[in-house]
Amino acid sequence: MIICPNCHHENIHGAIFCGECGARLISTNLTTQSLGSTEQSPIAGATTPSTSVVEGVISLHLMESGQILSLPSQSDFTIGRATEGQPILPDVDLTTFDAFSQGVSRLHAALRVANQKLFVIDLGSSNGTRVNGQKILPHIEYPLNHGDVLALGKLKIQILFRK
Amino acid sequence: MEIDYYEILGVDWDASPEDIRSAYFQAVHLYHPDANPDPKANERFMKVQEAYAILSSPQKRSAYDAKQPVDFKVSPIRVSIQYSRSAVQTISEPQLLYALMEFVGTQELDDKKIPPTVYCIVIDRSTSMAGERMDMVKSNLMQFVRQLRPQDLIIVVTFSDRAEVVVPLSRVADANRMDQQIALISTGGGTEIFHGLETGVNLLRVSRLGRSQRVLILMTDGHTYGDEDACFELGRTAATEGITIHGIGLGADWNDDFLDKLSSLTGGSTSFVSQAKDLKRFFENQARNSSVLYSRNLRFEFESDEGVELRYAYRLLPDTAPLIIENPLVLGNIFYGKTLKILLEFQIAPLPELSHFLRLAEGKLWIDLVSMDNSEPKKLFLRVNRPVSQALENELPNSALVDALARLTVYRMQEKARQDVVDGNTEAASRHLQHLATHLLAGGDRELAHAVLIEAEHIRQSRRFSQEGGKRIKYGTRSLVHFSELELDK
Repeated sequence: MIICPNCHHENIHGAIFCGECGARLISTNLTTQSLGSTEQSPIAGATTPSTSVVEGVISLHLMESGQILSLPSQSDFTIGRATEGQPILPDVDLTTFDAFSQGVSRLHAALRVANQKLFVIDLGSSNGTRVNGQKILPHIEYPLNHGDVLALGKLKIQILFRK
Repeated sequence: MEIDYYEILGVDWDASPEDIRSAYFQAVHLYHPDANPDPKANERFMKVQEAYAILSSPQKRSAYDAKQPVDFKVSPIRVSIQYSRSAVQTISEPQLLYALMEFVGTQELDDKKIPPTVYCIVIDRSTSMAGERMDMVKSNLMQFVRQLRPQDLIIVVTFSDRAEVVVPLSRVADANRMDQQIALISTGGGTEIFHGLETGVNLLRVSRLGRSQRVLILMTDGHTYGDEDACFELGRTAATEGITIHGIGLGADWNDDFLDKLSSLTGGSTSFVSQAKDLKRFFENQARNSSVLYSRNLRFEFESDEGVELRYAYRLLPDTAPLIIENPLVLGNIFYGKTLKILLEFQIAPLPELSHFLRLAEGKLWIDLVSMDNSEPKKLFLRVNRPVSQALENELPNSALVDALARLTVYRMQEKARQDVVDGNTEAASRHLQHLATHLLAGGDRELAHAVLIEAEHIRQSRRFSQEGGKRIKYGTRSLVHFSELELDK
């Protein structure tokens, strides 16, 4: 019996993906690849912390630690924390910011840029996502503005987004 | 050939002395009079002894080989198998084991040897096809005829409550006359698929020209009522005669379970056409493939040891479709220069302590080569098996296998949700769809993920899949399983 680390479903011995939620059950030394995606994501893991805000770039201000993460120019990001044996790794990994004890899910939320506007989508996280204190519904896009405070579980992040 | 010693031992002609030795011990284990009281087993045991006496001696073996017909030695197909684990484990609970099989043709493509293809297009002309939909079918069909090779042949049949032959067996060169006949197709009446299918299959039967390939393309936009089983029966017979059936579902209201099963029974596949470009792509693929078909309808007639169950089988390449679990298992067609790739999932019950070898599926692979100078189907011995081991080792499965399974997991999650709906468990169905949406989002398939979430909501309210959404998700996730040949080279 193999217990899925993601949904605790009991899988038959020898299973490689969870029969219930589709998470990968074995850890491999292979390069991580998203389920179903045809190409490999060019970025993974946290980007290098910087202190300045650059125009046209989204930055995440982690309010607890005061650190600022600048995200590379890309239209879609997933945010969460990476753990071993996880099928899909988030583009932005918040593990180093105490994400686990703050209640951040492995795949917590996604950020998306379209027509110079920024949106957030909660990916069905356990502890939910708040925009300026207001809880948002999962799987629905919400617009974000410069200065908005995003809370993933208890982890607060200010969005810095200069057009 | 008097007795095929290789077949008795279940080894190929090029088996190494070591292979022959281990096949011999395996056979002895099964048929020794002390182990198996059946008189037939004793008879078999004697033959095994005789075969081993010949094949284990290099001199006797080469003398025996020299007496065999020339083409006996040329294996037309190269097979490779990868397993998720190197051994089956002796544990007290059930376990899963995956096998990824790859088949490649070994002979060179010779254009002159590829026989003509006879296409029979069977078109639903029921009332619902009227207007734009029928126009799309007509114009694409006229285009298709012009993409074929000069030696190919066409038949067009239409059906509603009964069937009519619109274009009798004609050469592709007669395209202009065919256009007029196709243009005259009118719509009206119900959908009785069996009539159309039967007429089409019968016309293909009498149109057998030498070693011609025969393909039936069934296009429908509706459900047939009461004649499904008759259609499956006809499909099975057609498959044994070398006819492949492809299904095309137009719009949202056709019966996907029916077309999937009918096409899978013959080694074909089903396509979902929601726009004209889907149909165009399907016909372009057909025209391209007909000139490079290597072996049609590969069938695997197998036996498994007790406690082994083949739970799931899926064709990953060259097209993607779930296989129907039957014995023999219909695997599909092999094209020149392309790999046929099949994934099998076995569930194994707890094993007795003493076993040390497990046959997952072993038997004959029937190969029906298309090339002109091969007339009889050939057979190849295929063995999917694993040693049994006590030790519980933590090993990493092969990355190609994990990658294939990752893609398939997405498709199977959709299948799971469908099963939930059938079982009346809408809660589970919508939960599975949400998991599916998460995977799709992470893979960047925003559009399909969105369709999945809408469907999850639809199921919560109406307790079933919507006609359109259900098909979009099924065929959308199925197309994600598809590997391009390029990716395989990596």
